[in-house]
Amino acid sequence: MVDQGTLARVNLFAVLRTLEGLPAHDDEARKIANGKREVIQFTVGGVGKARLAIGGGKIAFMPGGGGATINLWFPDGAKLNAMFAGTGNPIPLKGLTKIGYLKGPFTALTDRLTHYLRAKPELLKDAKFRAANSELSLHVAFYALSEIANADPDGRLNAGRMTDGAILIAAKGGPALTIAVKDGRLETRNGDVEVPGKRARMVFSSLDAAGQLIRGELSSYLAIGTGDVSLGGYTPIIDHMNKLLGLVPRYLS
Amino acid sequence: MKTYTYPKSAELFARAAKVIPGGVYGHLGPAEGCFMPVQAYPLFSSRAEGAYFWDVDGNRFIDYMCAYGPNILGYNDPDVDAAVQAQLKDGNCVSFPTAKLVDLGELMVDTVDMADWAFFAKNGGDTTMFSLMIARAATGRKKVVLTKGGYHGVAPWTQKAGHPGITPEDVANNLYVDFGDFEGLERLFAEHRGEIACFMSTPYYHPVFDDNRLPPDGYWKKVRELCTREGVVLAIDDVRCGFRLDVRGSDAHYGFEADLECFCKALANGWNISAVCGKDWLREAAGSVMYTGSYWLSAAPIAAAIACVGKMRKMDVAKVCTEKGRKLTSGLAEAGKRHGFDLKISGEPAMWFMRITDDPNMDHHQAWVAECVRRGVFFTNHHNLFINAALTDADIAFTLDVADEAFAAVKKDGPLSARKGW
Ligand SMILES: Cc1ncc(COP(=O)(O)O)c(C=O)c1O
Repeated sequence: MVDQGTLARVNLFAVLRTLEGLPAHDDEARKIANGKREVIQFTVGGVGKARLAIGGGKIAFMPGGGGATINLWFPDGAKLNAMFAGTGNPIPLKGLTKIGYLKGPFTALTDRLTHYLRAKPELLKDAKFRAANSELSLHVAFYALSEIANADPDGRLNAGRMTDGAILIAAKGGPALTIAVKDGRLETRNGDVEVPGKRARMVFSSLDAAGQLIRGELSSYLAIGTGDVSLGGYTPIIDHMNKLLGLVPRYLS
Repeated sequence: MKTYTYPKSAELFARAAKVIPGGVYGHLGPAEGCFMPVQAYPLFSSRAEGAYFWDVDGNRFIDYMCAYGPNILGYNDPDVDAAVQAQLKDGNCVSFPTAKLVDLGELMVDTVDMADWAFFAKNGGDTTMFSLMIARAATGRKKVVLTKGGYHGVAPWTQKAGHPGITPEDVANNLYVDFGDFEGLERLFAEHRGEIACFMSTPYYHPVFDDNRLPPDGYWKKVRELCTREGVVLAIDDVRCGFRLDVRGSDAHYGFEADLECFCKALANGWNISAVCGKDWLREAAGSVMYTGSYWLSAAPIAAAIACVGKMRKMDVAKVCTEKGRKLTSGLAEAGKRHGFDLKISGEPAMWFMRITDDPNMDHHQAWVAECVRRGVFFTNHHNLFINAALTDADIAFTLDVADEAFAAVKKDGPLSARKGW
């Protein structure tokens, strides 16, 4: 069952964050990032706040509230989810005059992200596109995983069984993420960062293998047998991690 | 020592991947089996004999998993297999049971101390489910107390809420207590007085990942008294330990008497049969529960169980396996020491658990086990291991040589995470 509050957290803290990586892969996104600087704040009732700073050649995601040039307000998670599903609009509180930016460059950015994340099969035949899809998918999936672990009822049950520590998620020769676990709550960090108790690892044989797995082309249990996913280290963390990973498609498909 | 490679296993796995979910699923597969790294392990066997199996690449292994318990006398035991062959000539799965069903019932009652009757099924999970149903039928109560980290099969009530396919309702009647925590159990019984049908536990604590623990002094005696006082059925899940600790049942081994006792694994040396033994006061309830299956009264596995139980009694298989286990595990610990590793052995020697201490990430342990496997000694990382009666002194000596070399390799190359290109 998809929990709307969890989905809103996934949208706000995982999907939106993934815009950060877009300019590295996409000309149009790069153009927008090089354009006018705007800071968009998302305030979602019952979920939280986050800001997206666009400009100066990059897109930066910042969890929490602060100064902004455009303020968007959603009364609850379901309304945010409707915007992401393309069936609803936010209510601008500040920067009403910036409607043009939202409808123009910002919508273009989210469309580009959708283009990469919900990839059409024929596009995946192109190696460059495929790599971009894999990298962005890896990013969104493992940020979503922490949100699901902290908010989804099944996710919380599984996260509650995890021992404190951290697990490295990496693709050989490619990007890495670190997921820290403390008192049954998970936090995803970008990169192979030093956190206390990094006790386990889930390493994909290549970025492409990671992409295949997240796109559902490769079963995770099968991938363990073929060596496309290699697990090692403190097994009690890994065991629950697999269960959480199994919940991700509920929210991202 | 030559180290193994597994090209044919990999080839077969690729074929399996196309038609079988997960390739090889469950505890015999690389995911649940914690094959880390998978490249160190075979994935398919081609044949087995005594204490060994050979994989599809022709590599020989001393098998310390014993099919996760069923292999107690040695693979292809001549006496058990001859009984099966003879029975097959007369028939197997027929519209009626044979006289051997009654023979086996009598043999179980004669062998297992607590048994007033015996009931037969196929898997361990059949027997734990049936035990719970008997307890509910007998008491008119719903709840079951289980120990945290215990394993009783794969029926939804034995799994955890939040796991794939499991709903909160599936586990709504479960209560959990730590193994060995008598006060905790007493408290649960008091909080749920009149609601608890059954306390189900393995005779000692043998979870995955954790050191195994024997029952604290006096624990089972107190639990027995508490269950009797509260009208709760005491069901011992002896699926894994049964016959390896004591042919009379593991309750007898630890000096108490269960109301119900579940057997499977070692009962027929790998032929498919399981059993529930029970006390007289539960006979009616057991007869009242509708519980059966297509193959449950098939004659060949029953013939195997008769031969196996007879042979286990005659040779005192638990004593044999315990002595071999002691010899092996003390040697393994010494091998570790020679290379500066503390290999901690826990549980019962016939089905010991081991782990390298000072290894919080389990990295050295996984590397050591992988090095042993690649040299022909099949251990798994985080599950208890098993001894069978066919294991010889020469096998133990070979194992200790392998263990020594594997420790040396880990000392030299470090754990997997420290190696290049992992
Ligand atoms: C203690 C215990 N109970 C129950 C079972 C379930 O038995 P089966 O897999 O035959 O259903 C097992 C299997 O490993 C077990 O070890």
